[in-house]
Amino acid sequence: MKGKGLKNTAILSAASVVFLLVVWGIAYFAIGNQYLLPSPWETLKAAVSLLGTGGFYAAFFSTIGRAVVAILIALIFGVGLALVAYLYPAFGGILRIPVAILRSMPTMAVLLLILVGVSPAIAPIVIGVLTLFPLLYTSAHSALLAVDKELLEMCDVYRVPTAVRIQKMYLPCALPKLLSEGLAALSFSLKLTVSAEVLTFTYQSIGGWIQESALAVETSTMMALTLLVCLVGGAIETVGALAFRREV
Amino acid sequence: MILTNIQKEYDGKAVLRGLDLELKDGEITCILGRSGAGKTTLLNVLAGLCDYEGNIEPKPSKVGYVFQENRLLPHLTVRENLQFVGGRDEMIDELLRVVCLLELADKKVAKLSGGEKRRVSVCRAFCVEAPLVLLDEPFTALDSVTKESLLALVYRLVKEQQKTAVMVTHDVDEGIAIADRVSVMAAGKIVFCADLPQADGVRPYGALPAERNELLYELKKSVERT
Repeated sequence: MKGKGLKNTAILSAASVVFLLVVWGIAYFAIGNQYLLPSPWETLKAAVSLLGTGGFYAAFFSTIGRAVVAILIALIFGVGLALVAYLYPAFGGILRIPVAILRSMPTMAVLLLILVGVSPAIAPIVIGVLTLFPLLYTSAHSALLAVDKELLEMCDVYRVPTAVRIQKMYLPCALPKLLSEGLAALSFSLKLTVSAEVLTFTYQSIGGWIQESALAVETSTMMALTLLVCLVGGAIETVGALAFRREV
Repeated sequence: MILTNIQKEYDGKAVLRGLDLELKDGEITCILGRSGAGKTTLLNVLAGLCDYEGNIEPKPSKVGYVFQENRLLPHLTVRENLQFVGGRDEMIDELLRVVCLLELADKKVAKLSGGEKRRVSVCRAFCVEAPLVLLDEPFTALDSVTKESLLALVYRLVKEQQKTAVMVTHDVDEGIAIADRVSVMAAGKIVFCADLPQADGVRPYGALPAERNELLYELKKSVERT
Protein backbone atom coordinates (compact mmCIF):
# COMPACT_ATOMS: atom_id res chain seq x y z
CA MET A 1 0.00 0.00 0.00
CA LYS A 2 2.85 2.32 1.01
CA GLY A 3 4.85 1.29 -2.09
CA LYS A 4 1.85 1.93 -4.30
CA GLY A 5 1.46 5.41 -2.78
CA LEU A 6 5.09 6.27 -3.46
CA LYS A 7 4.83 4.89 -6.99
CA ASN A 8 1.77 7.06 -7.67
CA THR A 9 3.57 10.12 -6.29
CA ALA A 10 6.57 9.44 -8.55
CA ILE A 11 4.34 9.04 -11.61
CA LEU A 12 2.45 12.24 -10.82
CA SER A 13 5.71 14.12 -10.23
CA ALA A 14 7.10 12.92 -13.56
CA ALA A 15 3.87 13.95 -15.28
CA SER A 16 4.11 17.35 -13.65
CA VAL A 17 7.68 17.83 -14.94
CA VAL A 18 6.65 16.80 -18.46
CA PHE A 19 3.71 19.20 -18.28
CA LEU A 20 6.02 22.07 -17.25
CA LEU A 21 8.44 21.27 -20.08
CA VAL A 22 5.60 21.25 -22.59
CA VAL A 23 4.32 24.62 -21.31
CA TRP A 24 7.86 25.98 -21.43
CA GLY A 25 8.28 24.77 -24.99
CA ILE A 26 5.00 26.31 -26.08
CA ALA A 27 5.90 29.61 -24.39
CA TYR A 28 9.35 29.57 -26.09
CA PHE A 29 7.80 29.17 -29.53
CA ALA A 30 5.08 31.73 -28.75
CA ILE A 31 7.60 34.38 -27.63
CA GLY A 32 10.12 33.45 -30.32
CA ASN A 33 13.04 35.30 -28.70
CA GLN A 34 15.75 33.23 -26.99
CA TYR A 35 17.02 36.30 -25.10
CA LEU A 36 13.66 36.67 -23.41
CA LEU A 37 13.01 32.96 -22.86
CA PRO A 38 15.53 30.32 -23.89
CA SER A 39 14.35 26.89 -24.99
CA PRO A 40 14.49 23.89 -22.63
CA TRP A 41 17.13 22.38 -24.86
CA GLU A 42 19.43 25.45 -24.75
CA THR A 43 18.98 25.62 -21.00
CA LEU A 44 19.91 21.97 -20.63
CA LYS A 45 23.02 22.51 -22.77
CA ALA A 46 23.97 25.50 -20.60
CA ALA A 47 23.42 23.43 -17.43
CA VAL A 48 25.64 20.61 -18.71
CA SER A 49 28.29 23.16 -19.61
CA LEU A 50 28.13 24.67 -16.12
CA LEU A 51 28.44 21.28 -14.46
CA GLY A 52 31.61 20.72 -16.45
CA THR A 53 33.16 23.97 -15.22
CA GLY A 54 35.46 23.81 -12.19
CA GLY A 55 34.62 27.33 -11.05
CA PHE A 56 30.93 26.44 -10.87
CA TYR A 57 31.44 24.01 -7.99
CA ALA A 58 33.45 26.55 -5.99
CA ALA A 59 30.62 29.06 -6.45
CA PHE A 60 27.94 26.45 -5.74
CA PHE A 61 29.43 25.23 -2.46
CA SER A 62 30.27 28.78 -1.46
CA THR A 63 26.57 29.68 -1.82
CA ILE A 64 25.44 26.54 0.00
CA GLY A 65 27.95 27.34 2.74
CA ARG A 66 26.51 30.83 3.20
CA ALA A 67 22.97 29.46 3.35
CA VAL A 68 23.98 26.87 5.97
CA VAL A 69 25.90 29.40 8.07
CA ALA A 70 22.92 31.78 7.98
CA ILE A 71 20.49 29.16 9.11
CA LEU A 72 22.79 27.80 11.83
CA ILE A 73 23.25 31.25 13.33
CA ALA A 74 19.52 31.96 13.05
CA LEU A 75 18.73 28.57 14.64
CA ILE A 76 21.10 29.05 17.58
CA PHE A 77 19.79 32.53 18.33
CA GLY A 78 16.20 31.60 17.53
CA VAL A 79 16.08 28.56 19.81
CA GLY A 80 18.22 30.14 22.51
CA LEU A 81 16.17 33.31 22.75
CA ALA A 82 12.91 31.35 22.47
CA LEU A 83 13.97 29.30 25.49
CA VAL A 84 14.77 32.43 27.48
CA ALA A 85 11.47 34.01 26.40
CA TYR A 86 9.62 30.86 27.45
CA LEU A 87 11.26 30.74 30.86
CA TYR A 88 11.02 34.52 31.37
CA PRO A 89 7.83 35.79 29.70
CA ALA A 90 8.78 39.42 30.40
CA PHE A 91 11.80 38.96 28.14
CA GLY A 92 9.50 37.45 25.53
CA GLY A 93 7.36 40.54 25.79
CA ILE A 94 10.36 42.77 25.17
CA LEU A 95 11.32 40.72 22.11
CA ARG A 96 7.87 40.84 20.55
CA ILE A 97 8.27 44.15 18.73
CA PRO A 98 11.83 43.61 17.42
CA VAL A 99 10.79 40.18 16.11
CA ALA A 100 7.71 41.69 14.45
CA ILE A 101 9.88 44.37 12.81
CA LEU A 102 12.36 41.78 11.53
CA ARG A 103 9.51 39.66 10.21
CA SER A 104 8.04 42.52 8.18
CA MET A 105 11.18 44.31 7.01
CA PRO A 106 11.69 44.70 3.23
CA THR A 107 14.60 42.29 2.82
CA MET A 108 16.32 43.67 -0.25
CA ALA A 109 16.06 47.26 0.93
CA VAL A 110 17.72 46.30 4.18
CA LEU A 111 20.38 44.43 2.23
CA LEU A 112 21.38 47.64 0.47
CA LEU A 113 21.63 49.35 3.87
CA ILE A 114 23.76 46.52 5.25
CA LEU A 115 26.14 46.77 2.27
CA VAL A 116 27.30 50.14 3.57
CA GLY A 117 29.16 48.46 6.42
CA VAL A 118 29.43 44.80 5.42
CA SER A 119 31.29 43.12 2.57
CA PRO A 120 29.32 41.52 -0.33
CA ALA A 121 30.59 38.11 0.82
CA ILE A 122 29.06 38.49 4.29
CA ALA A 123 25.96 40.54 3.47
CA PRO A 124 23.93 37.54 2.18
CA ILE A 125 24.62 35.73 5.46
CA VAL A 126 23.54 38.75 7.51
CA ILE A 127 20.32 39.15 5.55
CA GLY A 128 19.68 35.42 5.84
CA VAL A 129 20.06 35.57 9.62
CA LEU A 130 17.83 38.65 9.93
CA THR A 131 15.10 37.04 7.82
CA LEU A 132 15.27 33.52 9.27
CA PHE A 133 15.68 34.42 12.92
CA PRO A 134 12.07 35.64 13.47
CA LEU A 135 10.68 32.54 11.74
CA LEU A 136 12.76 30.11 13.78
CA TYR A 137 12.29 32.06 17.01
CA THR A 138 8.51 32.04 16.60
CA SER A 139 8.52 28.38 15.67
CA ALA A 140 10.70 27.40 18.65
CA HIS A 141 8.68 29.53 21.05
CA SER A 142 5.37 28.06 19.96
CA ALA A 143 6.85 24.54 20.14
CA LEU A 144 7.90 25.20 23.73
CA LEU A 145 4.48 26.65 24.59
CA ALA A 146 2.92 23.48 23.19
CA VAL A 147 4.70 21.27 25.74
CA ASP A 148 2.03 19.36 27.62
CA LYS A 149 0.90 21.32 30.67
CA GLU A 150 0.42 18.07 32.58
CA LEU A 151 4.09 17.25 32.09
CA LEU A 152 4.97 20.68 33.44
CA GLU A 153 2.86 19.99 36.51
CA MET A 154 4.63 16.67 36.97
CA CYS A 155 7.97 18.54 36.86
CA ASP A 156 6.71 21.00 39.47
CA VAL A 157 5.54 18.22 41.78
CA TYR A 158 8.86 16.38 41.57
CA ARG A 159 10.84 19.65 41.68
CA VAL A 160 12.79 18.79 38.53
CA PRO A 161 15.60 21.36 38.07
CA THR A 162 15.26 23.77 35.12
CA ALA A 163 18.46 22.56 33.45
CA VAL A 164 17.15 18.98 33.46
CA ARG A 165 13.77 20.13 32.10
CA ILE A 166 15.47 21.99 29.25
CA GLN A 167 17.75 19.09 28.34
CA LYS A 168 15.37 16.17 28.78
CA MET A 169 11.94 17.65 28.15
CA TYR A 170 11.69 21.03 26.44
CA LEU A 171 14.25 20.49 23.72
CA PRO A 172 13.26 16.89 22.84
CA CYS A 173 9.57 17.84 22.80
CA ALA A 174 10.24 20.84 20.57
CA LEU A 175 12.79 19.05 18.36
CA PRO A 176 10.50 17.39 15.78
CA LYS A 177 8.78 20.66 14.93
CA LEU A 178 12.11 22.52 14.92
CA LEU A 179 13.75 20.01 12.59
CA SER A 180 10.81 20.12 10.23
CA GLU A 181 10.75 23.93 10.18
CA GLY A 182 14.54 24.03 10.04
CA LEU A 183 14.67 22.00 6.84
CA ALA A 184 12.01 24.20 5.23
CA ALA A 185 13.99 27.22 6.41
CA LEU A 186 17.17 25.79 4.82
CA SER A 187 15.48 25.73 1.44
CA PHE A 188 14.28 29.30 2.01
CA SER A 189 17.74 30.30 3.20
CA LEU A 190 19.22 29.06 -0.07
CA LYS A 191 16.82 31.15 -2.15
CA LEU A 192 17.42 34.16 0.06
CA THR A 193 21.18 33.77 -0.15
CA VAL A 194 21.15 33.53 -3.95
CA SER A 195 18.86 36.58 -4.22
CA ALA A 196 21.15 38.57 -1.95
CA GLU A 197 24.22 37.44 -3.91
CA VAL A 198 22.61 38.64 -7.15
CA LEU A 199 22.01 42.06 -5.65
CA THR A 200 25.43 42.36 -4.03
CA PHE A 201 27.27 40.75 -6.94
CA THR A 202 29.08 38.47 -4.52
CA TYR A 203 32.29 37.07 -5.91
CA GLN A 204 32.40 33.28 -6.42
CA SER A 205 28.73 32.64 -5.80
CA ILE A 206 25.73 31.33 -7.70
CA GLY A 207 24.06 34.71 -7.36
CA GLY A 208 27.18 36.44 -8.69
CA TRP A 209 27.22 34.08 -11.68
CA ILE A 210 23.53 34.81 -12.34
CA GLN A 211 24.29 38.53 -12.30
CA GLU A 212 27.25 38.05 -14.70
CA SER A 213 25.09 36.01 -17.06
CA ALA A 214 22.44 38.73 -16.99
CA LEU A 215 25.01 41.40 -17.86
CA ALA A 216 26.32 39.22 -20.73
CA VAL A 217 22.71 38.52 -21.82
CA GLU A 218 23.39 34.78 -21.51
CA THR A 219 19.78 34.02 -20.72
CA SER A 220 20.13 30.26 -21.05
CA THR A 221 22.95 30.23 -18.48
CA MET A 222 20.85 32.41 -16.16
CA MET A 223 17.94 30.03 -16.56
CA ALA A 224 20.15 27.00 -15.96
CA LEU A 225 21.61 28.47 -12.77
CA THR A 226 18.15 29.39 -11.51
CA LEU A 227 16.82 25.91 -12.22
CA LEU A 228 19.79 24.31 -10.47
CA VAL A 229 19.04 26.37 -7.35
CA CYS A 230 15.37 25.32 -7.58
CA LEU A 231 16.42 21.68 -7.91
CA VAL A 232 18.65 21.85 -4.83
CA GLY A 233 15.95 23.65 -2.82
CA GLY A 234 13.38 21.08 -3.92
CA ALA A 235 15.73 18.22 -3.00
CA ILE A 236 16.21 19.65 0.51
CA GLU A 237 12.45 19.92 1.00
CA THR A 238 11.88 16.41 -0.33
CA VAL A 239 14.54 14.92 1.97
CA GLY A 240 12.94 16.74 4.88
CA ALA A 241 9.45 15.54 4.00
CA LEU A 242 10.66 11.94 3.62
CA ALA A 243 12.68 12.06 6.84
CA PHE A 244 9.75 13.29 8.83
CA ARG A 245 7.32 10.85 7.32
CA ARG A 246 9.68 8.09 8.49
CA GLU A 247 10.24 9.71 11.89
CA VAL A 248 6.49 9.94 12.56
CA MET B 1 0.17 15.35 59.18
CA ILE B 2 -2.82 17.46 60.14
CA LEU B 3 -4.81 19.54 57.69
CA THR B 4 -6.93 22.22 59.34
CA ASN B 5 -9.59 24.39 57.74
CA ILE B 6 -8.21 24.05 54.21
CA GLN B 7 -9.96 26.36 51.76
CA LYS B 8 -9.45 26.75 48.06
CA GLU B 9 -11.35 28.71 45.42
CA TYR B 10 -11.18 28.59 41.65
CA ASP B 11 -12.67 31.58 39.79
CA GLY B 12 -14.69 32.59 42.83
CA LYS B 13 -16.12 29.10 43.30
CA ALA B 14 -15.22 27.32 46.56
CA VAL B 15 -13.77 23.86 45.92
CA LEU B 16 -12.40 23.12 49.39
CA ARG B 17 -14.53 24.56 52.16
CA GLY B 18 -12.73 24.30 55.47
CA LEU B 19 -11.51 20.73 55.09
CA ASP B 20 -10.04 18.99 58.13
CA LEU B 21 -8.07 15.76 57.79
CA GLU B 22 -5.53 13.77 59.76
CA LEU B 23 -2.98 11.60 57.97
CA LYS B 24 -1.16 9.08 60.13
CA ASP B 25 2.45 8.16 59.36
CA GLY B 26 2.85 4.89 57.52
CA GLU B 27 -0.87 4.61 56.78
CA ILE B 28 -2.85 4.58 53.59
CA THR B 29 -5.76 7.01 53.71
CA CYS B 30 -8.35 6.59 51.02
CA ILE B 31 -10.54 9.53 50.07
CA LEU B 32 -13.81 8.56 48.46
CA GLY B 33 -16.19 10.93 46.77
CA ARG B 34 -18.15 11.62 43.62
CA SER B 35 -16.72 13.69 40.78
CA GLY B 36 -16.48 17.35 41.68
CA ALA B 37 -16.10 16.75 45.41
CA GLY B 38 -12.64 18.37 45.39
CA LYS B 39 -10.54 15.22 45.77
CA THR B 40 -7.96 16.09 43.11
CA THR B 41 -7.79 19.66 44.42
CA LEU B 42 -6.95 18.26 47.84
CA LEU B 43 -4.11 16.24 46.32
CA ASN B 44 -2.88 19.30 44.42
CA VAL B 45 -2.83 21.27 47.66
CA LEU B 46 -0.76 18.55 49.32
CA ALA B 47 1.56 18.44 46.29
CA GLY B 48 2.13 22.18 46.43
CA LEU B 49 0.61 22.70 42.99
CA CYS B 50 -1.78 25.40 44.15
CA ASP B 51 -2.03 27.88 46.97
CA TYR B 52 -4.67 27.58 49.62
CA GLU B 53 -5.87 28.98 52.92
CA GLY B 54 -5.62 27.01 56.09
CA ASN B 55 -2.94 25.07 57.85
CA ILE B 56 -0.95 21.92 57.07
CA GLU B 57 1.41 20.67 59.80
CA PRO B 58 4.01 19.63 58.98
CA LYS B 59 4.11 20.90 55.42
CA PRO B 60 5.15 18.13 53.02
CA SER B 61 8.71 18.80 51.81
CA LYS B 62 8.47 16.54 48.81
CA VAL B 63 5.85 14.17 47.49
CA GLY B 64 5.54 11.29 45.09
CA TYR B 65 2.48 11.52 42.89
CA VAL B 66 0.74 8.87 40.84
CA PHE B 67 -1.38 10.98 38.50
CA GLN B 68 -4.59 9.85 36.92
CA GLU B 69 -2.82 10.03 33.55
CA ASN B 70 0.66 8.56 33.50
CA ARG B 71 2.43 11.81 32.58
CA LEU B 72 5.58 9.97 31.50
CA LEU B 73 8.06 11.35 28.94
CA PRO B 74 7.53 9.07 25.91
CA HIS B 75 10.90 9.77 24.30
CA LEU B 76 12.80 8.65 27.42
CA THR B 77 13.35 5.08 28.57
CA VAL B 78 11.81 3.67 31.73
CA ARG B 79 15.03 4.20 33.65
CA GLU B 80 15.46 7.74 32.29
CA ASN B 81 11.93 8.66 33.36
CA LEU B 82 12.76 7.66 36.92
CA GLN B 83 16.14 9.41 36.81
CA PHE B 84 14.37 12.52 35.46
CA VAL B 85 12.61 13.04 38.80
CA GLY B 86 15.78 12.44 40.80
CA GLY B 87 15.52 8.75 41.54
CA ARG B 88 18.78 7.11 42.63
CA ASP B 89 20.06 4.26 40.47
CA GLU B 90 20.06 1.64 43.26
CA MET B 91 16.51 2.54 44.24
CA ILE B 92 15.40 2.53 40.59
CA ASP B 93 16.84 -0.95 39.96
CA GLU B 94 15.24 -2.34 43.11
CA LEU B 95 11.84 -0.87 42.29
CA LEU B 96 11.94 -2.07 38.71
CA ARG B 97 12.80 -5.54 39.96
CA VAL B 98 9.84 -5.46 42.35
CA VAL B 99 7.43 -4.43 39.60
CA CYS B 100 8.99 -6.91 37.13
CA LEU B 101 10.08 -4.18 34.72
CA LEU B 102 13.86 -4.53 35.10
CA GLU B 103 14.14 -6.14 31.67
CA LEU B 104 12.31 -3.17 30.13
CA ALA B 105 14.41 -0.56 31.93
CA ASP B 106 16.08 0.60 28.73
CA LYS B 107 12.97 0.52 26.60
CA LYS B 108 11.35 3.78 25.53
CA VAL B 109 8.15 4.42 27.44
CA ALA B 110 6.24 5.08 24.22
CA LYS B 111 6.59 1.39 23.38
CA LEU B 112 5.13 0.07 26.65
CA SER B 113 1.62 -1.24 27.20
CA GLY B 114 -0.89 0.68 29.31
CA GLY B 115 -0.37 -1.55 32.32
CA GLU B 116 3.42 -1.28 32.07
CA LYS B 117 3.24 2.51 31.86
CA ARG B 118 1.06 2.58 34.95
CA ARG B 119 3.64 0.47 36.82
CA VAL B 120 6.37 2.91 35.77
CA SER B 121 4.22 5.77 37.03
CA VAL B 122 3.84 4.01 40.39
CA CYS B 123 7.60 3.34 40.53
CA ARG B 124 8.28 6.99 39.89
CA ALA B 125 6.24 8.00 42.92
CA PHE B 126 8.24 5.65 45.12
CA CYS B 127 11.74 6.19 43.73
CA VAL B 128 12.06 9.68 45.22
CA GLU B 129 12.90 10.42 48.84
CA ALA B 130 9.45 11.70 49.77
CA PRO B 131 7.57 10.80 52.95
CA LEU B 132 4.19 11.38 51.31
CA VAL B 133 2.76 9.61 48.28
CA LEU B 134 -0.37 10.83 46.52
CA LEU B 135 -2.43 8.65 44.22
CA ASP B 136 -5.16 10.16 42.07
CA GLU B 137 -7.54 7.44 40.90
CA PRO B 138 -4.50 5.32 39.98
CA PHE B 139 -6.41 2.24 38.87
CA THR B 140 -8.97 3.83 36.57
CA ALA B 141 -9.38 2.21 33.17
CA LEU B 142 -7.29 -0.82 34.12
CA ASP B 143 -8.46 -4.39 33.72
CA SER B 144 -9.19 -6.27 36.94
CA VAL B 145 -6.05 -8.44 36.82
CA THR B 146 -3.75 -5.41 36.35
CA LYS B 147 -5.67 -3.49 39.00
CA GLU B 148 -5.29 -6.31 41.51
CA SER B 149 -1.53 -6.56 40.95
CA LEU B 150 -1.10 -2.79 41.19
CA LEU B 151 -3.12 -2.61 44.40
CA ALA B 152 -0.81 -5.21 45.92
CA LEU B 153 2.22 -3.34 44.60
CA VAL B 154 1.15 0.00 46.06
CA TYR B 155 0.35 -1.59 49.42
CA ARG B 156 3.69 -3.35 49.53
CA LEU B 157 5.71 -0.26 48.57
CA VAL B 158 3.93 2.00 51.07
CA LYS B 159 4.45 -0.44 53.91
CA GLU B 160 8.04 -1.40 53.04
CA GLN B 161 9.14 2.20 52.59
CA GLN B 162 7.02 3.33 55.56
CA LYS B 163 5.47 6.17 53.62
CA THR B 164 2.23 7.98 54.22
CA ALA B 165 -0.15 7.60 51.32
CA VAL B 166 -3.30 9.41 50.27
CA MET B 167 -5.30 7.70 47.58
CA VAL B 168 -8.27 9.29 45.92
CA THR B 169 -10.87 7.12 44.24
CA HIS B 170 -14.56 6.78 43.61
CA ASP B 171 -14.33 2.98 43.89
CA VAL B 172 -15.23 1.75 47.37
CA ASP B 173 -13.68 -1.67 46.75
CA GLU B 174 -10.27 -0.14 46.01
CA GLY B 175 -10.44 1.69 49.31
CA ILE B 176 -11.49 -1.43 51.22
CA ALA B 177 -8.66 -3.39 49.57
CA ILE B 178 -5.69 -1.38 50.85
CA ALA B 179 -6.68 1.52 53.08
CA ASP B 180 -6.05 1.80 56.80
CA ARG B 181 -8.51 4.67 56.98
CA VAL B 182 -11.27 5.72 54.65
CA SER B 183 -12.79 9.19 54.39
CA VAL B 184 -15.77 10.37 52.36
CA MET B 185 -15.48 13.79 50.80
CA ALA B 186 -18.37 15.91 49.58
CA ALA B 187 -18.69 19.55 48.60
CA GLY B 188 -15.11 20.34 49.59
CA LYS B 189 -15.25 18.80 53.06
CA ILE B 190 -14.62 15.48 54.79
CA VAL B 191 -18.08 14.32 55.85
CA PHE B 192 -17.24 10.87 57.14
CA CYS B 193 -14.14 9.08 58.40
CA ALA B 194 -13.56 5.49 59.54
CA ASP B 195 -10.57 3.40 60.53
CA LEU B 196 -10.56 -0.05 58.99
CA PRO B 197 -9.42 -3.14 60.90
CA GLN B 198 -5.70 -3.84 60.52
CA ALA B 199 -4.75 -6.23 57.73
CA ASP B 200 -1.56 -8.11 56.83
CA GLY B 201 -1.90 -7.34 53.18
CA VAL B 202 -4.39 -6.43 50.52
CA ARG B 203 -7.89 -7.36 51.59
CA PRO B 204 -9.69 -9.64 49.15
CA TYR B 205 -12.73 -8.50 47.20
CA GLY B 206 -15.80 -8.75 49.38
CA ALA B 207 -13.93 -8.25 52.65
CA LEU B 208 -15.42 -6.08 55.41
CA PRO B 209 -18.98 -6.10 54.07
CA ALA B 210 -20.32 -4.07 56.99
CA GLU B 211 -17.77 -1.31 56.47
CA ARG B 212 -18.35 -1.46 52.74
CA ASN B 213 -22.09 -0.97 53.16
CA GLU B 214 -21.54 1.90 55.54
CA LEU B 215 -19.22 3.61 53.05
CA LEU B 216 -21.68 3.14 50.22
CA TYR B 217 -24.41 4.62 52.40
CA GLU B 218 -22.24 7.61 53.29
CA LEU B 219 -21.33 8.12 49.63
CA LYS B 220 -24.97 8.06 48.64
CA LYS B 221 -25.80 10.50 51.41
CA SER B 222 -22.99 12.81 50.26
CA VAL B 223 -24.40 12.86 46.74
CA GLU B 224 -27.86 13.72 48.03
CA ARG B 225 -26.33 16.39 50.26
CA THR B 226 -24.77 18.15 47.29
